[in-house]
Amino acid sequence: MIQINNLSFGYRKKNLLFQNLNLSLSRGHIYGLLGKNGAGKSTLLKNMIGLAYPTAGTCTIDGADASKRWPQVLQNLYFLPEEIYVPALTTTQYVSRTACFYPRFSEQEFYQFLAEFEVPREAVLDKLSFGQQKKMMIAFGLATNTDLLVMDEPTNGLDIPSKVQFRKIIASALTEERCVIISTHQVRDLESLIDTLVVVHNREIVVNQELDQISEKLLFTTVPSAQDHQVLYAEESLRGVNVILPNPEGVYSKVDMELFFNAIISGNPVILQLLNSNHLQNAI
Amino acid sequence: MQFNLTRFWRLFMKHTAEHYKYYLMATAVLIGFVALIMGFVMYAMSGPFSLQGQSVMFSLVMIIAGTIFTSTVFADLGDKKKAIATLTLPASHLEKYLVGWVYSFLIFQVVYSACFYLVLYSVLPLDDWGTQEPEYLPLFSGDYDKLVFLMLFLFLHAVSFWGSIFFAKWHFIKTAFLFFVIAGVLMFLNKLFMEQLLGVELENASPFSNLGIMEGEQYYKVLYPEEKEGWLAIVPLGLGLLLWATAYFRLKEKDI
Repeated sequence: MIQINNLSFGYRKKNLLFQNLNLSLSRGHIYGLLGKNGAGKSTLLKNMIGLAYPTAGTCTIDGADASKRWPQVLQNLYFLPEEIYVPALTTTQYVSRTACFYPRFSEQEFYQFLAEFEVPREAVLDKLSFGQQKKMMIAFGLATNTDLLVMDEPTNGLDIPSKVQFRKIIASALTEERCVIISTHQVRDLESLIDTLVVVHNREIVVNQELDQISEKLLFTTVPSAQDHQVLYAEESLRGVNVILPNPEGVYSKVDMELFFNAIISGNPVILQLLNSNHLQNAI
Repeated sequence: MQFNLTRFWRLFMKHTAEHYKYYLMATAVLIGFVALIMGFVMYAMSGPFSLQGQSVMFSLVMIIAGTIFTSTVFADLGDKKKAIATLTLPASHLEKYLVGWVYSFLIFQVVYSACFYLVLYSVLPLDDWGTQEPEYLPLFSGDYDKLVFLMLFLFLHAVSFWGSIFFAKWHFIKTAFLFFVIAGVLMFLNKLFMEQLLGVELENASPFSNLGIMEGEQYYKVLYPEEKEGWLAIVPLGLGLLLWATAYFRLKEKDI
């Protein structure tokens, strides 16, 4: 659905944030976009949806150049930024003035999501708390039923019950036709939701793999001591040592996203080599 | 360039719903401002408020209020949160552009004229007219000065309109500053160029205007033919159209 080819981008020409970046994102997935602060997660999202112009290369949505911002493309994508703007309208007024731009908007679904998030229907939006505003916008975005849903740090500002509700609602809203991209630095919030990981590091996409593929190649476990194992990455914890090991036997383990992310940004080349070499073997 | 009338209308209605409170307050401020200025002028002048005085005031306040208001029409694009909401809304750039243009150019002129005449008809009879009937400035007249003023307003609107899209904050101040700097530089360079071209020292040589030459004690003027003076109105019109087009492309290329 989203195709990025040789994309280079920088707010200054001499200081590029991305260089010759390639990425392909498909329907039917919930992508988790991870990266350190300042790695360019939000900027990458903006390039994807046409809010920032690449210095070189292209970014297309279903074959259409994202930077053109054609209405036909925009009506099939919804972007929820980290910091949102809501006008001084009631929820009902907002829906009546904005939903008409999205041909597949479902008012019934919207009010259902709103009820699940416990956001009052008749409240004036700019008088709501930030968390309530965000929940309203998430509900609106989901109810647009656009094929592409892009969210930048959606759980920021949500309380714990709302985060649980968010995971439930997003999981229920995923269809074969839909591509959901979530940028976050709070991986624990979305661990059970994301099915594919995209990691931005050092101006490159270093990982773009489904969690199942990662767990086929790597074993995530906790051991009493790291010395007896061929450890790729380890972190001390109260229960022992959390480690990433090679997984030649294909033993199933749940991907510890935080551990995996820390391993990637620690500059460990072996993990990346393992992921990529296996990837090539699979491709052959 | 895409344009869909239904979508434009929806966008217009959305814009109105989200901004009508601000526009109503701005209208009230405009009425108050016109009343204050008109009251002060009438109080300060010894005779009744003449037609010429009314005309000058109508033009001057329209230019000031119009450029200030126009500078705010795309101010949302300078705020990252609002800009994202505006730019990702499924409507074309042309439709978004036209909503701002209709409000700041067409609707402003109608509302401004209504406010001015409301104050004029309320305040003017209070002036000291003696035995004569109060004289009101006619709104519609085909005289040349009015045409020139409308062209000038169009040009200044286009400058402010471009500034409201181009700058992220302090739209009016930055646009006005840039306008005066460019105007000053242009006037200076034009004088230098014309002096080189004609080989004489010029008293004044503003772009697209008459020349004033001082030779010894004699002052000469090189005038544009009087019967063709109307053509000069094309200059602000042409520049205005150019700036409107530039503003459109700036909106199209706006990024966050």
